[in-house]
Amino acid sequence: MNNITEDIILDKYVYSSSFILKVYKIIKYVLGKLSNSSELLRICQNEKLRETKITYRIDQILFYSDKLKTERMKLLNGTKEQLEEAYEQILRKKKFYDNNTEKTAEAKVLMKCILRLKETYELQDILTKKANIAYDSNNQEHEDKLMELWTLLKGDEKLNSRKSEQWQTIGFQGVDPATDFRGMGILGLEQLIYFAQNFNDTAKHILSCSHHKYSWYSFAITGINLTALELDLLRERHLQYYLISHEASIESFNEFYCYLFTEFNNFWFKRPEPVTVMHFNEVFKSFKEKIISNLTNQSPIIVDTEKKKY
Amino acid sequence: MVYCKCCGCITCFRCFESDKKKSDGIVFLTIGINNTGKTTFLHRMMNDKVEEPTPTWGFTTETVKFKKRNITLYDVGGSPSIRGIWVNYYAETYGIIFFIDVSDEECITQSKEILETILKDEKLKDKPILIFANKVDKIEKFEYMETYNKLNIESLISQGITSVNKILLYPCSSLLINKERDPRIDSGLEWLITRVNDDRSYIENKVKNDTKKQNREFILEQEEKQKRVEEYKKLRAQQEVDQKQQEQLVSNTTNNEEIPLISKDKSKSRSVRSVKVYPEEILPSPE
Amino acid sequence: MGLLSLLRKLKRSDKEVRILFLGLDNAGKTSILKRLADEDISEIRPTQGFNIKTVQKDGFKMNVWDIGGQKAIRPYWRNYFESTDILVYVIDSSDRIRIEETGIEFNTLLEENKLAGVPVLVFANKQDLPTALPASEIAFGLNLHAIRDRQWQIQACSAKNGDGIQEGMEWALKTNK
Repeated sequence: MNNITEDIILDKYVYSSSFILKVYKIIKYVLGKLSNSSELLRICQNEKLRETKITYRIDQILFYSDKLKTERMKLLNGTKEQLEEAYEQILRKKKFYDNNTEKTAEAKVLMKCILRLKETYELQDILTKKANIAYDSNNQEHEDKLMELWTLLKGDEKLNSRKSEQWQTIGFQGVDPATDFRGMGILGLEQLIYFAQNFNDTAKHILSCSHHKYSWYSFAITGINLTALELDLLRERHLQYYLISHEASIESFNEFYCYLFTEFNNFWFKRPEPVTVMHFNEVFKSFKEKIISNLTNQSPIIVDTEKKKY
Repeated sequence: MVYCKCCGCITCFRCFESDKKKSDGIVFLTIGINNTGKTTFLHRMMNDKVEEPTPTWGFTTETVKFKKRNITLYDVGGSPSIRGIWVNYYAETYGIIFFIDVSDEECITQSKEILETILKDEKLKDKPILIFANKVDKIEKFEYMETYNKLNIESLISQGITSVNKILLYPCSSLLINKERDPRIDSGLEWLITRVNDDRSYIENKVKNDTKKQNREFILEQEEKQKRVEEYKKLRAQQEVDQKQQEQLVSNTTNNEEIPLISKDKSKSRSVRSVKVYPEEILPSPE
Repeated sequence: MGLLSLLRKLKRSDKEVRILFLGLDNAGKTSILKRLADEDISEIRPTQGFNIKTVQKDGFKMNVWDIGGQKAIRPYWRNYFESTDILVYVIDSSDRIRIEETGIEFNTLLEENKLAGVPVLVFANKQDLPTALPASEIAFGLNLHAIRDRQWQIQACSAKNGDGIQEGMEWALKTNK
């Protein structure tokens, strides 16, 4: 079987159905008894797979394993000692010992992968903390960031006053953007800035698309909704492969945000029927499904910088 | 602006199109401290089974059938902070139905003071007032004279605030009695309606005039408000223009300063396809 | 089929009520809606378009339409008036600068034909904030005392700590016949 698609097949058909998963586990059990090994061990021994794939498979195995539940908890939430404990227990439970001799090569692979996975788990905490930092108008740093966003998107156009209807031109609801960040806090603002900074032309292009006569939508508000969407994807484990293959960092997370924004813009204007802002939530829901499908199929993540006319 | 169909004035409160308004024209306002049973009474008049409505913090109106005539009832909240709205309904009402809770001494004391205050309002002059001594089901025996004195009704009459034939204290219970409305409620209402009819043309004229006056005042108030809103908007717009001019002035007098930096565009077309793979110590180099 | 399941079938189905949530942006409409549905409100985002939720409580099936309040969306409000049983208008009690603006929007709504006679519940939200105006002041500011053609109720509440929301909805459901 082509290894590049084995994990995709597992994601699409095995892990997604509780019945088929049960069957699969029975097969694994039998195989394990016959060969005195475990799926985890076999993956770590597989020399044909790249480390990314191995790490991803390990993540899935840990998540769906009934026997390794405690160990997984320790990995997710625990200290360094607890991680080591969990590691030892996994080695024992999953046949990494051959007559009390440790299979060092495979064990090292496992440890390496676990450390990489730990980064992806920690990213969730880091981002949640950021999202919980509410935008504060009295915080000069926050205010500076807000002005930076304005300048990035509007260039030379001067803002008449801190509270002005002009904010609506970049898609905030009223005269003071502070109230729009809500549950996404400073994370929402930082992602908008990242997009406007690193893909300035594209961001400006999408901003102008959002001013469509009939199918207009609010740029900044949509951005904040996309931040929320991305956090959901992260928590629902859809971003694992992406983070493992790219880097489990905030920058990686922000790059994906840029991808989401451009994809959304294309998705919005390519609807079979013309849409208005009132269709937003409906379209957003379909958009989420499409993104999840792309992620499951491990489609390449490319930020579309082509300036399409709508 | 909504034009009134009956008298042609602008926004006559009483004449908003509503099938509830097909009444004989009589409006009664039920007031009293909170939790005295006003809304429960309303439900009795609507002939439904509700015995524990939620506390009223607003206004409800129903036109109900009572002995072959239709009367419109206004029920408003009695909590201290909403009581202030009562005055707005005095002009339109033909008579007052005032509620007290006889099982609550504190209520009776407070009601005494409130009664004196409200009856002094010009808009309620010469209109009959029915005081329902409600919740008699909660006490052993209703002492009529005792309650009459506690409420200082004699004093109100002697002061000329009301007259002996325009005020009545009547016991009742707004709970269902044998699944029916307390017949004392009907008796009380009968009295009230009779008093209104005795003086019908005077009261109707008074209602008409007071309502017209109230409308005019209301419209004036709205116009004032509208003016304020317009002025505020103009001021804001002017402030924005001023600010813009000021800034232009500043930028004209400074020497060629650098335009605020926009972060340089890091890349033209960035793909996140490039995979950052960790150094492959253990495994052989990728295929 | 057992007697119990037969009885369940005969049981009257929940009464359906259509509720419309309107108000300026940032008033707290979506937060109140989520509170009603016992959902988490820590990660709310601004509503673009509208949200619909069905909440079942005490024998009522509430179909709640929560419409976005930003200025650019207000012209679309009228598309949702039809068949409304209860109008819920949400106000940020601490936003003193916009009290007049929300008053204007509110009174414009009351003049709409499609909302004629519909009972209105005003949520004076964000009462947890120190700068919040009390509900009575908001009632006067909105000229609620001038209303004669429908029932209304004003309810002080805080979506943040949940106060007042159940009471408000209780009135709304009991009022609805």
